Amino acid sequence: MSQDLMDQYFQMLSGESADAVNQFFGPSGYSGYNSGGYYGSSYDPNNPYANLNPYKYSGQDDSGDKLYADLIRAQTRDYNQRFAPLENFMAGQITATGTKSLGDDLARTRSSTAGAVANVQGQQGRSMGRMGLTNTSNIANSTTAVGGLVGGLNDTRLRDSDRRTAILSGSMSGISQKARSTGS
Amino acid sequence: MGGGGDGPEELESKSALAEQAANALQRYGQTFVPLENMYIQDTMNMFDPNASASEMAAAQNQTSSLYEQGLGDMQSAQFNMGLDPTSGRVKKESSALREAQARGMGLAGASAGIDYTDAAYQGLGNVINMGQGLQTNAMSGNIDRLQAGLDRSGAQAQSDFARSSSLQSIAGTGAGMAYGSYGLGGGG
Repeated sequence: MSQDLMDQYFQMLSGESADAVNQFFGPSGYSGYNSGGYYGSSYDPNNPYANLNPYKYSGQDDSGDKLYADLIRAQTRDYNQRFAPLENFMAGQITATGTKSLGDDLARTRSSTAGAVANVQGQQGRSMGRMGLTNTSNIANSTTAVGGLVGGLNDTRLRDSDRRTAILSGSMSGISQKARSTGS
Repeated sequence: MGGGGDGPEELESKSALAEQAANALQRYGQTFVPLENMYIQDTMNMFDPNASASEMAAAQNQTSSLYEQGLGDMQSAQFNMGLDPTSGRVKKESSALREAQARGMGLAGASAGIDYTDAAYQGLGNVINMGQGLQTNAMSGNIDRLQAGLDRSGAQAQSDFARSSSLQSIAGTGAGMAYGSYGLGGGG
């Protein structure tokens, strides 16, 4: 059977029947079917509900129930396609002490401090040069600059740890609570 | 009508409500899903390690300007006091302030980078709330974040300048008034 005919055939079926047919015959190759259920056609992430037909079951028994079931399946698939991967990404960012962004944040703190030292060293040299003096100071080795770097790195770690707590008590806790209540 | 089943026939209104829900969902898909996807993409782009470079540079520049004004005032004060630019006092004082400037700029840039990462996570949290059907909170934008960083830098600069004896000595003069006018003079 060609893909078009398969599509037409599946579109005539209710969502439940389409799932049953797929389960019975194994992977059908039908473009609109995935493990999340039948939704009418292939999934377009930029218009995921375009293939819903509000009048698909008009005149049939339990047309409201059947249409509602299609809507729920369509929403479930949209959630699985667009949002679930992001939830997994967020959960995957959490480490034992903070988040996976710590490495990048530490690198940025180092580069920011080093860049600022080089910048100011140049400014100081030019400023003294205008008075005919030679700049002999070495800001990079000063206690202030080194202390600033160490303090900045410590602050970066602390803020990453705070971020972890905020994620765990914020978005992630909301998801787990909702998942728990959905099943009850 | 009816399919000959034994159960009660479905209310017509139930079917109408389902159709209404389907229409609403289609409209959501057509109009709002592309906008949601745009926001999701923007949020994920914020996790790029180099995405915060311009915010960090802006924070450094703004912090530098806070110190530049004070350094200029300090130099004027030193000249007016007749201090020799090669003297130990002048060198020590200007070096100390330059080091403080470097520290301030470095930390302001670093903080802007961390704020940006926080904003990325906040944006991701908003996206997740969207997926869960929860109301999302408005996140602070670039300008808000930059201003918060500058407020911190300003407070640090104020404390750094308070240690400059040359600047302390010009309090009450024209330059001192200018020094106070950009918020670095402190109240005490």
